[in-house]
Amino acid sequence: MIRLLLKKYINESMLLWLACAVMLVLFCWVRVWIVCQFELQRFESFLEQLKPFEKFSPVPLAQLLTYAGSLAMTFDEPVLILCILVWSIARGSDVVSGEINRGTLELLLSLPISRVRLMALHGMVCVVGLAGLCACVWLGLYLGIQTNSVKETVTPKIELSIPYLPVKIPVQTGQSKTTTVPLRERVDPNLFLPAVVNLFGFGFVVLSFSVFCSSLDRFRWRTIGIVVSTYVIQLLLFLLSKSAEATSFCAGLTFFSCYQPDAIVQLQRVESGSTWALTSAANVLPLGLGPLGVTCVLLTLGSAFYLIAFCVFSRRDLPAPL
Amino acid sequence: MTAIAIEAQKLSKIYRSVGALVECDLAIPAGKIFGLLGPNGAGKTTLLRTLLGFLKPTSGKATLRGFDCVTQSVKVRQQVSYLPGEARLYRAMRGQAVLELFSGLQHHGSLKQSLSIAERLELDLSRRVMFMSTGMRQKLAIAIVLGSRAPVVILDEPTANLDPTVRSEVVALIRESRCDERTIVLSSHIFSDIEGSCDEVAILKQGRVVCTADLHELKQLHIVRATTKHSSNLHAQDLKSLNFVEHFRISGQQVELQLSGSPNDWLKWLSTAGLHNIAIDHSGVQALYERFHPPTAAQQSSFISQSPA
Repeated sequence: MIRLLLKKYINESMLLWLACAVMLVLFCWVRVWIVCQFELQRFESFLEQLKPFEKFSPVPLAQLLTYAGSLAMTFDEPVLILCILVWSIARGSDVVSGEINRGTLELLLSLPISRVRLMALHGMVCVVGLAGLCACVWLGLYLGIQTNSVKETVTPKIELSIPYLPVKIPVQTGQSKTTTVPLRERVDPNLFLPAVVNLFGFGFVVLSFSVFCSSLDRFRWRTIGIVVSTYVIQLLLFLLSKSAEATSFCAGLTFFSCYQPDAIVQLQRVESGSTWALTSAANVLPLGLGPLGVTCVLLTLGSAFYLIAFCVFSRRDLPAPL
Repeated sequence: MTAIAIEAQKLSKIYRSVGALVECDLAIPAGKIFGLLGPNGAGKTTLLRTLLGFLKPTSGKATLRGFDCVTQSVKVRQQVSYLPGEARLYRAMRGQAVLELFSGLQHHGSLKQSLSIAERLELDLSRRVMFMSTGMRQKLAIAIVLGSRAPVVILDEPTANLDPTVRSEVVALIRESRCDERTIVLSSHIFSDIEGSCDEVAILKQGRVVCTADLHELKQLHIVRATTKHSSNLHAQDLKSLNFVEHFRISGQQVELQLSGSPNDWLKWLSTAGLHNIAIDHSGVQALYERFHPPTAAQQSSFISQSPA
């Protein structure tokens, strides 16, 4: 029975997963390719003008002048976020209110399977699917890093030391040359692994919140509406927390405070060995948490939503199909 | 003594102040086809959904083959094959795939049996559910449910949406399904379906079981419709005193009597009762049903309706 139910859930979600997976791999590869088309140093003056808005950025804007920092911004791209949201909300909202809405839960629950097991099997497929999508993000970045090159202008120079003075004077010794360097020599794809795990945590919160809303509701469209509205409110709270000191307390009210993939990438560059740290002294992430710390907060929040959803679904009355 | 397959004791389901099921007492014997009759909102579906654990009862207790419907819901559902009132199936799947899925998921599922029923109902299994008519979907759901070898089958309005030919085929299938002490609970609005298949029937009214009857005994009852020149010829008190009068209704000069026992017992009385235009018919489920649910409100108000008991 378990095998058949898993097969059913996989078949139901396969098309959506494949669409999202292809989109994510392609998008991430293209994103890397675009970064490789520009000499990042040329953006320095442009970024200077954006200084007043730096507070809205999770990392200092100077990060964008590095390949790793620029690639880390992929995790904030709307296309990537949209794919994760579409999967999490579409699948999460389906489990109870979707089946009730379609009228198929009645026949399904007349089978000898407990409600908790039914939801757990559905959750298993969704969570594995989400992990697969996050792996696709990393795969896209990995392929992009492996297959793209960057052009760098190299100026041959020597440094002259002046006796008795701690000063070195650079002296150009020849013409500047533009060389092509494989991006893999500049960026290690493994740098993005903790950020991908953080993205998984983000998706897991949205997924489990959708499951929770679905377990309460009987209309899928209403579940989706509630989840999307909550997401927008959370995003606004995050922006509000960044906009002024007086509203900084809002950071504690939104799970976006723990979705910091670019800050995680920055932290690894600032503090070597912090890849999977729970805490960090660098104060880049909130509450002195490390890359694993913020992700654990997201995973705990998501697990709590799932737990409540299990309780609600196993206790509620099932309305007759409309 | 007959074993009880399904038992409800003071089972109630109250939604805020509305009683969908009110202290329902019911015992369904094993190996019987048991009909549930009642108008919309009488509590038939609520009773069935409570038995399956879809609804938590407000009070009371229900058991199915000895398993508690609330605390042992999974075990209950291992014993049951259930057809919902409006069975909806996965729209993107083909008929064959739906049968394969559910026969695999059911505890007593049998794909071979389901396929044979589908063939008997002339169902095109290569078609996707979304392209099937309502009747075809109903046939597919019937093939799923009756294909199972579960000891208890619960059918909520199985013949709704079916044409008369297929309806009689389904009723025949239900009759054939009664084997190996299999218990079938059939909820329906259609008297002929109940009469054609059931051994016993319960009538529900406003969430309560108001009557249970053995259909074989019911067939011993006769309905007499007649007119009387003077309504004063028949007195309610006189009719109450006659032990073969089960029920009567008098509306002006129109008289309707439900008589039990052999016609020899009451034919003589009938000839001397001052009745004209006498029509005698076998009593059926409809007569019993109309005793509790008179056809229209207007008729209800114009009739003097009473049971001597």
